[in-house]
Amino acid sequence: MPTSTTNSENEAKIIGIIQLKGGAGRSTIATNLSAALSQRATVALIDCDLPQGTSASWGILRDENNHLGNLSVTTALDHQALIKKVQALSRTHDFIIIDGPPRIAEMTRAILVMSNLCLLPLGTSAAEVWALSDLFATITEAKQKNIHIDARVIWNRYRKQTRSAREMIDAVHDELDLPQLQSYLGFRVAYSDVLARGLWVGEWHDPIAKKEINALVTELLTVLGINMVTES
Amino acid sequence: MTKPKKGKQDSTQKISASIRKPSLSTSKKLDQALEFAQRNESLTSQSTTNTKQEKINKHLGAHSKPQTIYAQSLIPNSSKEQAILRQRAKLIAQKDTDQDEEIYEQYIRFKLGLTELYGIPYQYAEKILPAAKVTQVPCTPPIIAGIVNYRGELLTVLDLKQIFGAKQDDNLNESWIIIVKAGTAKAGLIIDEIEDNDEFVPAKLTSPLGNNGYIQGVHAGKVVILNIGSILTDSSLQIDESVN
Repeated sequence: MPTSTTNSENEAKIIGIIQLKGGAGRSTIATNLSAALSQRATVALIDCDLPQGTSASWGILRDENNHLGNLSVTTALDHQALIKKVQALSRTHDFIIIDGPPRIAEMTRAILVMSNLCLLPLGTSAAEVWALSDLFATITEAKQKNIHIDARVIWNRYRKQTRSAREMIDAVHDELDLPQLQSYLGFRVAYSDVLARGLWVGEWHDPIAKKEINALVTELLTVLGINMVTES
Repeated sequence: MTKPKKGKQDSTQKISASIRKPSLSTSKKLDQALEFAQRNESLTSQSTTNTKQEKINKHLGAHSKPQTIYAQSLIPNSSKEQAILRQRAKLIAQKDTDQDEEIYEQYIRFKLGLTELYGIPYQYAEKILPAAKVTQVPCTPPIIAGIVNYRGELLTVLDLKQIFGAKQDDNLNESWIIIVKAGTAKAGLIIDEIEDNDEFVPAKLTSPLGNNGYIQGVHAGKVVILNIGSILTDSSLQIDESVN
């Protein structure tokens, strides 16, 4: 397997995906990111959004089709179970992807702090931005306690032509002091098509969606400071 | 579509099998995470909702004593005011006819041959299939690539490259079929590469040179939006000849 990370401490890089509003695209990002990274490294995906368990269901589907490969999928019921699992899995995996719960609970607080990088998926709707501002309060609280947190907004269901999208991005930029990722996920049916099949967009006939996810992976690796042999 | 049964045990078993070193290291970050997660008293969700509620109350003029306001109590009593409200409700219910906003239509953009871009509006597209097995039919014009079995239905597949004279891309190793329908007519169109889904403004399409009726217009000067209705009903595609 082409596993070639420069992970000197032999500890997994933890990527948390949190957003307090349901339907913001956490599982879409978690599943596609996990599958894309597992093409080149060992990845563990932990679904904390139970009982819904979208990512876990996706993992079961993927397993049924023998597509898991370098990816393991598991669940965690509370923050203590999560921390234990992360501790164990970080020894054996290059990446740990955590799909967070849609509420501000101990779990979300733990994910914020333990992640090397936290993704905050955000659709261009005011409701999602409001949900993010609650999260922002928690991030600020952690920062006041001198805890290092790297949380970045990733735009989901983004439509470049619409004016409202532009306005929303400017508003988030002005009002919430959170960095935003360059890469974004467009408003594409491919994302829901692949989720239902246990696939990721790299295994689907939408080259743009594949490009979006690959761009996201490249950007995340840069942010995390990882040199990985990229797919040709 | 049935949601797969969530066997928590299954997935956990899978994980524990892949753990090579069970010895646990106490990572500083994880300790910090546990501490931060549990020290939630300073800013509990309770207190945030409280301050939020206070803010909303203040905004609504409820001051320190939260009052219960019923929606009915806010409705004006006088008949004159009620008439105004009804008038407004009517106005809001009316469909806005002269909107400034442009009407967008979504379409699938794809490539034919090496360079040419074409689009099919969503309302005509039914499904995209890999162009696996097109069975050729003898004695048909080159425009007809053959037939496919789509859900037990035999559909004619058209080769648009023949219509538009697009050059074949020899490096292409796979192509797709878009199943399109207009009214009762349904057919497959062979396309080379799906590029994107996008939007166009029907009112802003430019009319193409030498329109043969197959084209609705040109979007942004480069994407040819197909007129599926006229392609599917074109008489030159109706073959009704017999060989003696």
